[in-house]
Amino acid sequence: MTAAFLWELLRRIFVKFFKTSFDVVIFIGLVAITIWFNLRFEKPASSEDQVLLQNFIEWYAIFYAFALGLIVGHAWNKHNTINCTIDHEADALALLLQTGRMAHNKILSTNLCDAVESYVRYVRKARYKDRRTKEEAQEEMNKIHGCIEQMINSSEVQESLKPELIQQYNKFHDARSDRFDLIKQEIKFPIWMNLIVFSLVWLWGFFWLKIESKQLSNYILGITTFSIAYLFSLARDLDNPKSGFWRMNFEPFDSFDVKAV
Amino acid sequence: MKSIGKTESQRSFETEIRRVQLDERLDRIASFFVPFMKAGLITAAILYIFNQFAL
Repeated sequence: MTAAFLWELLRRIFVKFFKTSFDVVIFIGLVAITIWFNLRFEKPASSEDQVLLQNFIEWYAIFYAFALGLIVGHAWNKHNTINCTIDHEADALALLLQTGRMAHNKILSTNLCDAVESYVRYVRKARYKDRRTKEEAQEEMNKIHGCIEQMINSSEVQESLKPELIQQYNKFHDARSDRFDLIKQEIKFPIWMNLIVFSLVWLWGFFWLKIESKQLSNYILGITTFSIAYLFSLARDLDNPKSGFWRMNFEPFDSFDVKAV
Repeated sequence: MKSIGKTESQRSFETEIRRVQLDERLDRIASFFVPFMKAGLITAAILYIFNQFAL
């Protein structure tokens, strides 16, 4: 069982790595192009040039940290907001259910429970495949909408509950729409390309630094490259809510128990 | 014992959801290592280029 689990895990790691490594290819490709250019020109060897280069690395780091921070921050914010929206959606459904249960007409109340349960089951099953315009989702939404409509038109449901039912349904509908709006707001490809170019411009300064110790130069270059490449991959992972480690979290729906609400 | 009182369709739904959740968990663990692998590969390539061309 453990060996099978490990084998499956390794298989997935490699599949994912090769499926999403186009940015690695772009990164290494651009390095190769800059090396080709670099070999044709004289390297900065004088001490004045070296001081200028050190200053450039320092000042560019401020601009670079600002650009990278904005992108990583945006992606992190998006990840958090999507999860909050899913949470709001589940909360609004729970409140809708609790309000519906207060109705005197128990048949309508049970119908609403069934419709909500059916929707929760749909979301738990569809997860990342859920779409705004998916027919199955529309049917589930229509079922809940139909139940609310019946309750509002019924004289056996208390008048005080009706505005609450509409309000909770609207909140649920809004949260669901927000989820899809946020998924669509991805960072565009030209911005990723700009970030790769900024990274290389900054990294290139380290290539030209004159450091006597080979070990120290490898250490500085290695750590800087690893940090840049890792943050870049992390930002891409954060920006994609449908896959990767930082994907949407459907835990509020997984733990949504219609009978317990 | 939890399955007592549940219908056949409920039981099969729960089984399917458990399978989906397990699959998702495995996928997330696998995805955790991918940024490290990418960063490692890029670092190795750049250090190789740096040392090979003695820049």
